[in-house]
Amino acid sequence: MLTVNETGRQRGRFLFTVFETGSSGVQRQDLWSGVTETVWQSPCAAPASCAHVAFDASYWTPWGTCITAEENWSTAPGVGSTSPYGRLFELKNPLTAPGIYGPVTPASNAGAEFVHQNVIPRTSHEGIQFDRNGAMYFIDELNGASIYKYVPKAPFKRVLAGRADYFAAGQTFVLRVGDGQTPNATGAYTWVPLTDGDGNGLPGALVVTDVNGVRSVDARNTTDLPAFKGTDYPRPEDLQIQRLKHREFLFMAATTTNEVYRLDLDAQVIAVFANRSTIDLATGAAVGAGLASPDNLALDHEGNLYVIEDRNGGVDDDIWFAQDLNQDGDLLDEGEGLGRWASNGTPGSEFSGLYFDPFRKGRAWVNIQHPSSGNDRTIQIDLHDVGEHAGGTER
Amino acid sequence: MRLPRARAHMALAGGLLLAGAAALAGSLRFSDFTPLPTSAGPTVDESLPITFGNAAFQQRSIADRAA
Repeated sequence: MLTVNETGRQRGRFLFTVFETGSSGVQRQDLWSGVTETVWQSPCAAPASCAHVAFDASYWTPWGTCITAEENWSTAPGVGSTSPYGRLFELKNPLTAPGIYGPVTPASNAGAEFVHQNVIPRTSHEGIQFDRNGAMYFIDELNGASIYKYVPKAPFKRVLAGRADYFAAGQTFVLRVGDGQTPNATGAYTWVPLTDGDGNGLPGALVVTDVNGVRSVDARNTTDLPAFKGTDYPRPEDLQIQRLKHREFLFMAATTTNEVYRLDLDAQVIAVFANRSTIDLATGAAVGAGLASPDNLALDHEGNLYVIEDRNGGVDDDIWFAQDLNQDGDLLDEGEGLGRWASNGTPGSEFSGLYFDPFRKGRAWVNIQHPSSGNDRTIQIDLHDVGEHAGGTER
Repeated sequence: MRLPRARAHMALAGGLLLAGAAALAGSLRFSDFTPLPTSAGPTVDESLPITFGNAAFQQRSIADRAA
């Protein structure tokens, strides 16, 4: 995925992305100069226990750092996993971490403040979003896995002011509809805690010691236990918050069933937003198999949602635009539906991480990932007739 | 991330251009496109891999692994 530095005096200048490989890293591109550097690199490759793998998330925090996380965790019912992965990391000096050149050595990352934030329980991470109150939402990417919320112990205003550490302590919850036993359930939900306010597993939660000796709460396997049962969803992937007037909604892509869900964070209700029955705006018929493997989500300056598929470039890898004319959270009204906005022609590849520049209305980026050629790319998308500049640094 | 919010009022018939009600007249938006009827086939130029629903959308490769 992609993000710019969304805060600070140089906001909008740098574009960050990550490597979703067996030897992950963080890349920074200076959009003024075009200089692209790796600023953190896994010191070894999987399966070595020092490896960092499958970075997928790439987000800017409200307090001005960059976070990423491993899209890799293991199912171990009743006992928890000892995998070294499933971690969330914070790069605390994303603008000043030096570029890494030459062979990677143990000293290569010396200039980067790259921290495993262990208060966040282990999952196979992808989507991460913050609401206006500072709660952080994340998922477990598994067919039959849950949605989580982390609330920091420190007052959010202090975090934003740089006077408190967001990840020093906090409580994690899992989303449950009803008794949690119905997969893919919609309706009213509650948040069930699996840790205390300091991040320690509640009695009965699975606290594991991984192969590197790090003790963590195992979110996936804990929330399969009856006391902590979360509602299972069909492979949650990306998350995207939408703010409409004074309300917040959280969209979630669910790959296995080709659906997008929408959570009303204020009313605490979850519903299906889009699926294969949604009208294809090009044909007037149901989109059907044309909508396949929704993975990433993005929001443009008008608040429109885009659904990015994880499919086969050159065959059926598309980005869909969701037309919700009255913004009522469904695509069922007259004139509403999904329109195929873009399609990827690179063989073997997939779109990843469409991201609209928050400071320039006429610019966006998307990655072309895992092509058959081996040449992954970041593509910049520009509008020919650009509207007003929205207020970041610009060259 | 805060984004400006503009209410979109769109008139739609199959195959016609989707256009947002522009706060600035004449400004192109990402929501101005004609829905593609099918997915794109393979491209021969991986530096220009995307087929858009609007020919005015420009693309360029700004970083790649081989560079």
